Amino acid sequence: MIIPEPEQEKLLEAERPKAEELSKEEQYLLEIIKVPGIKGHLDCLEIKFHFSERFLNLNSSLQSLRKAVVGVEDNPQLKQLFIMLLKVGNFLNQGSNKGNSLSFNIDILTNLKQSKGVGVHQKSTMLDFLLNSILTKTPEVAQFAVKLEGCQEASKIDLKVVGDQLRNLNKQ
Amino acid sequence: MQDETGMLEDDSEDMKAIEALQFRIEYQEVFLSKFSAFRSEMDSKVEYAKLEFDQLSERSDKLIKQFGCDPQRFLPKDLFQLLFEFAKDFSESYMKMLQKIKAEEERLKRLKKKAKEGRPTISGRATVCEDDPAVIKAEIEAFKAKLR
Repeated sequence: MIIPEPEQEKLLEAERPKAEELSKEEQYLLEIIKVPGIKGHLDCLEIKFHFSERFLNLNSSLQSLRKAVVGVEDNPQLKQLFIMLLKVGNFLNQGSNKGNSLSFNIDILTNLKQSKGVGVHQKSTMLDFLLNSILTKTPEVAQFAVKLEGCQEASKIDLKVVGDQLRNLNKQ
Repeated sequence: MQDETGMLEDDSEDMKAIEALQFRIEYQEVFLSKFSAFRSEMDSKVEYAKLEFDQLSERSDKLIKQFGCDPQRFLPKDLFQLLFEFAKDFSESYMKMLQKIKAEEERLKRLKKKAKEGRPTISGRATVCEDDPAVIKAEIEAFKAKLR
C-alpha cells in the first residue's frame, strides 16, 4: 500500500486548502494521512493478514520434524536391527581385523548393498545376510522401516531455516 | 498583552489540538481493542512454536550423538536423509525377497498339484510330475540307456 513519506505529507498538507484542484490520487493520499498512525496500523494489518499462512508453514515443518524424531526414538525394531547388523558384520568379517567390532559407522547403512563379506562369504552382501536373518528369525524387525516414513519429509527441512522463520515471527 | 479576540483565537487553537489528541487516543483504543485478541492468539502460537522448536532441536541433537556423530557437523536433515535411504533400500530388497519366496512357494505348490494329478511322463513309467528335477534326470538316464 502506498503511504506518503513525512516530507511528502508536509507537501500534501500545504495543498489541503486547494484540495479540489488536486488529482484523485493526491486527494486519496490527503485523506489517508488524516488517519492517526496509519503506517503502524497498516503494518499490523499486514502482519495479521500473513500470520496464519506463515505460522502454518512453520508448524508444518515442526510437525514433520517431530514425526521423524519420534519415528527414530520410538523404534525398538531399529535398535534390534542395528544389533543384528553388528552381528552380521562381525560374522562376515570373521578372521579379519574387523571381525570383532563393538560398533559400526552410520555411513555403512547406505552401503549395505555394496558391502560384501570376506573369504567364503564374499558373494553375499551385508543386506542379503541381514534380510535372510530377519526373514528366518525375526520378521517383525522389518517394521522399523514403516516408522521411518516421516524421515523423507524431515530430510528436506533445514532446522536453521525453521529457526529463522520462528525468529521473524517472534520479531513481529 | 493580548486582546480579547486574540485570547479567543488561542483558546480555539488549543481546543482543536485537544480534540485532535482525543480523536487520536480514541482511535488508538479502538484499534488496540480490535487487535488485542489477535495479538494474544499470535503470542500463544509463537510461544508454542518456540517450545516445540527448542524441544525438537534438543532431541535431534541427542539422536545424532547417539548415532556417534557431531551435531555441529551432521545436521538432523542429514540423519533423516540417511535413515530414509536405508529404509527405502531395505524395504525394496525385502519386498523382492518376499516375492521370490512367494514365487518359489507357488512353484512347489504347482509341482505338488501336478504330482497329485499323476500325469504320465514321456517314458510312461513314472507318474510324478515331469518338472521334478529328479524325474527329469531319471528320464534322461532311461533315454540314454535305451539309445545304448
